[in-house]
Amino acid sequence: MPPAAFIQRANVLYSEYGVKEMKEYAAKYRLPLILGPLFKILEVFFDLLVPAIMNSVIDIGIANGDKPYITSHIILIIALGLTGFICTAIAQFFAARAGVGVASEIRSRLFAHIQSLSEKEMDQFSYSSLNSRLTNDTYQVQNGLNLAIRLLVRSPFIVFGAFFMAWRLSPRLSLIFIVMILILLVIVSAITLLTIPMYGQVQKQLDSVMARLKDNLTGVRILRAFNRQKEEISQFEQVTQGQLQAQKRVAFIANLLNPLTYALVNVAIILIIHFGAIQISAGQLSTGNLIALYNYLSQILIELIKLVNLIIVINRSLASYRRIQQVINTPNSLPLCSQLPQTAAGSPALEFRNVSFRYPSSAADTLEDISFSLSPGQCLGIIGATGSGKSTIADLIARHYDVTAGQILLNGADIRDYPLEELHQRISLVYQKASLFSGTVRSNLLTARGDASEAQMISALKDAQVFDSIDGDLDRSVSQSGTNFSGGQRQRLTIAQAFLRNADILILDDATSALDFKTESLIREKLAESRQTLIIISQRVSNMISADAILVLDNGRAVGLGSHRQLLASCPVYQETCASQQAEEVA
Amino acid sequence: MKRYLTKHALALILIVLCSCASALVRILIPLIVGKAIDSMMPIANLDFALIKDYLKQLALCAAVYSLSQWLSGQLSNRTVFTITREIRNDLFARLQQLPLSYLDSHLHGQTINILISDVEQFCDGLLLISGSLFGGIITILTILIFMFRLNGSIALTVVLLTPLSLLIARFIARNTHSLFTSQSDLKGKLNGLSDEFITSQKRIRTFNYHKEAQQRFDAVNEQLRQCSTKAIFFSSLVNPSTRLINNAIYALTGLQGALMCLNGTLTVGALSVFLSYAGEFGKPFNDISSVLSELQSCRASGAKIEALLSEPLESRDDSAEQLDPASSAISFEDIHFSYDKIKPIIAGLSLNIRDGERVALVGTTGCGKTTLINLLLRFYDPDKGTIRLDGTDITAVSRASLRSCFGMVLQDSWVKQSTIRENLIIGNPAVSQQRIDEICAITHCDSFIRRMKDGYETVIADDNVLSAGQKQLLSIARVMIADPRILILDEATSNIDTRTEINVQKALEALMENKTSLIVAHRLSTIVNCDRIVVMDKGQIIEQGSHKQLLAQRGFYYTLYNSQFRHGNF
Repeated sequence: MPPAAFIQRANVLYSEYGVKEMKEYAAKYRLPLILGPLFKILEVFFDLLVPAIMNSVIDIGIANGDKPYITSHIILIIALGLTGFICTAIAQFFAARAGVGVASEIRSRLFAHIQSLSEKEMDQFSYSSLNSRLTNDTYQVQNGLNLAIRLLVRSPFIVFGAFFMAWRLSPRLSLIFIVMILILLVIVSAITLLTIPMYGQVQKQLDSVMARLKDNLTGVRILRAFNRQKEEISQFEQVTQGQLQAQKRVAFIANLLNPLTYALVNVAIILIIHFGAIQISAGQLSTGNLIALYNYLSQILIELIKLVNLIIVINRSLASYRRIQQVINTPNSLPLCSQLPQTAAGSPALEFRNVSFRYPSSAADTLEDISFSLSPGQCLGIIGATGSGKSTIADLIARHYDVTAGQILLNGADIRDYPLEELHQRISLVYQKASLFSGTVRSNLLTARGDASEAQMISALKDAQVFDSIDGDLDRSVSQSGTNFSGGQRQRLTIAQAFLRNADILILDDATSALDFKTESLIREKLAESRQTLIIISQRVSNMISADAILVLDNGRAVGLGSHRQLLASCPVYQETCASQQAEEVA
Repeated sequence: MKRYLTKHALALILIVLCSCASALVRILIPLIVGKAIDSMMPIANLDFALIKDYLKQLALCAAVYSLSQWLSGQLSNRTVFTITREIRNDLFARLQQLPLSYLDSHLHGQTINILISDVEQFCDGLLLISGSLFGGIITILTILIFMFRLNGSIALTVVLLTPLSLLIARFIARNTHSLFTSQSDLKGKLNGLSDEFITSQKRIRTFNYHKEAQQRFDAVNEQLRQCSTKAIFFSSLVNPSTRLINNAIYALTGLQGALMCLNGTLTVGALSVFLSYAGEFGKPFNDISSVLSELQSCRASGAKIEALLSEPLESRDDSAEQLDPASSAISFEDIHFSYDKIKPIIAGLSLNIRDGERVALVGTTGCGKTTLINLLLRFYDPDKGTIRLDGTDITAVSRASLRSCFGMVLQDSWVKQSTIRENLIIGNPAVSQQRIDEICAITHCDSFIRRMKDGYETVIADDNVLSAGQKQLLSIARVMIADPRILILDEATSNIDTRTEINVQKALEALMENKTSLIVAHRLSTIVNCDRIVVMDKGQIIEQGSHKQLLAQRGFYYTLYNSQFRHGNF
């Protein structure tokens, strides 16, 4: 790799790896991060002292036949060992504390960041990839950090110490050391740079294994009904095969590191003995010096091997750290503000002004030039065929996405001028796909409104016609997504959440599709009683027949806006829709 | 777990051989260097030929060393990665055969965690064993032999004291095991939570729940931090403790040797060799003990894998008869069922459905309609009672042959993350393109499929690509292509707009022609045309008959029917 390219690559790596961010994550653990390596150096110091004392036992104690000297120094060695142990224990404690601590700090911040992203960015990463970055990757980082604190200081310390001693003995022979260390550095960095993107690949493959698995778990009923187990297994095996290939590729290169290092060091040993012999015969070097040089070289070798193995682990965790940074470096694309906007009294509760929207991945607009306005307490129905863009309107009001063109105004102010929390405070959205959090009915209700009283919860459940169906048991447990409830129960529980929140604007996105007639009409009655501004998104005319206005969507365009009667007179699409549903009644 | 190792026995033996070879050569190299330097002692006239010989030997050893190291690394990586894949594949295959009650009662995140993280953890442990354990043992044995050849009594001191370090390592390992178990549990919990929170970001945002979500996440994260810190700290004490013992051994060897030197029973040269060996001797123990500590988390993960692998499967039915019913008559005979064995969902239900009959199941939500379908397809088996298809007890035939008689369209339409085509032909891979085109046209899938980037080959990679209605249209097309004998429509058109539905309904009518069908619906058009309407409440049938008969009865159905018309004039 030419030097220019090398430097460029290094620069890219510097910013991609978020060195700056790492400092923030580590801020709380600065002390253990400094003390850990410090105690590690103390440990090295005691380690190196022991052979020197043993030497003096041999050279002085035995030579002089001095028994007390021998015993006292042996006791000193044991005492030093004990002190070394204490230092190490302290170092390990700080390493564990800092490694785990920084990793959980990263995890917490990453989660916070993921929560701050809009749907646009979440789509870009995909849910399963975000999940694996939040878990697997942070574990990898923890592993790497912990090892780095424990070993990254120790090894270079010994390497440079030994090199310094060798240089004092024979500057000429230690040239071999320098060349060896330099070549080794080149090999290590080449392999590092080569493998980092490959480890990323492996991780990506793991993501797809995870996605396949998740897909299979969610579709289990359909898959079994179609007897697709065998095909599913073979597809899963294909994905794991892909991962295996990627793992093998990177392991092939990473595995070169150790043998190459050993080969290099052994070549250096051969050279040192060879040139050492020549120098000895010329009287420029003593045999004792050659032994010492060899010892230093072996010491360097041992530490370099440790270092290399450490670098392999650190590489893996760096790849993980980079995947985390990719998310952290992706800002929320929605411009946010922190102050409440000026609202004019008497302005409509909600207004769409020439709103268009296009999904980032899509070629055509999903919504085109939509305008309507809604006074406080009014009810708007939105009707349209499957895929006509109805749900997108709800997503836009909640700012899961921002409009591509036009404006959405809440009480006369652009929703982009509201702090997100304030915006969400004012709207309540019930989705067609009713899903609950694992926990209890109570915890789910508290999710919607943290300060709800028992009485409020019960009345919300009753209004949503679900109180009896759960036997009035607020502590009934809820499994993930609420799968232990029927679709209808789930929908009514999410409606209960909305009742509890009592926001200014309530948007029901096909929220009663799984309910039977009777329940649905009872809920509609309760909705009529509440004075909320209401948006009912549905495919059924009966759901919005009494609405103040109905917006008729067809392929993302508004083809009608008016009351039921007006539309019946003027809007062909609406007429057809009504006809299709009237036919049902006549039957 | 053992069978994965026996399967790769040859590779494992090779790995052991290679690491033994490299361990041996590693001890040989210092010996040769020592001899080479010894040969330089008479400084006056160096025997360069002899030195050259030694250097050649060194070069050979170095080559053997690097080669065997490369080979063992290569082999163990490949083997372990292959084993990783095998375990994952086996676990996945296992999941396909587990009863639904298992999958319904476990968080998906937790199951995913076992297949991803625990398998990884386990295999990391395997890599460590193959990498360090065997080489370490060989090094220890070789050094032992050299030491006993030098001096038996000092060697004995070393040998007797060294197991102490292993004992300490085992002591720590045993005491940290519970920490590693709870660490792995906490990781499972955290993964479950993160999966749940990430997939429900939209709801979290609109509920302004992100602060609480963050708190809940941080709470588990904090528990994990405390547990991991302890687990990692205590297990990282293993290495220094063994080093402490080794240091003591080194000192005692020095004391004993020095005293023997004073007696004249040992030379100073022999002592220095001994001391270097005593140092070398401790190192592999260090490696082994650090492996032991890493093995803790490996063991905890292995246990979770093993537990999932030995989770009882759905009762086997490979040998059971293949069901090939002549008629599609279904009978439920006094069925009792409950999910939790406490609250009965179906209580003594009996129902006979004639061949070719179209039956609608009606009732308030939670009355047991969907459970009935779960039982019919044997996702669950009834606690009591028999279900027969064409007179055959459905538990007596293979599940595959039973399920192949049915086609289902559910309200929550699941679409596989794959191409549209694969989703369409999932129940009938041999179908012709012409037939696919036809069915997509009558089910109104063609318009949105045509608009997609790659048409039929468009990959549905994420949940947001298709709307709920589009997914439902796809599921209807999917069932039409499969063309089963019996149809189950559970709110099959609930997400489709009525204009489209009318047309799709026509197609469904054609499909239901002469077929036995079970329909769970709340739309009149679907119900009214049924041969019989069965009204359920609290797991029992309370009314049945045709639309007209039931209206005339003025019972439960009558109120249900009228409730729809209390608003507006529809």
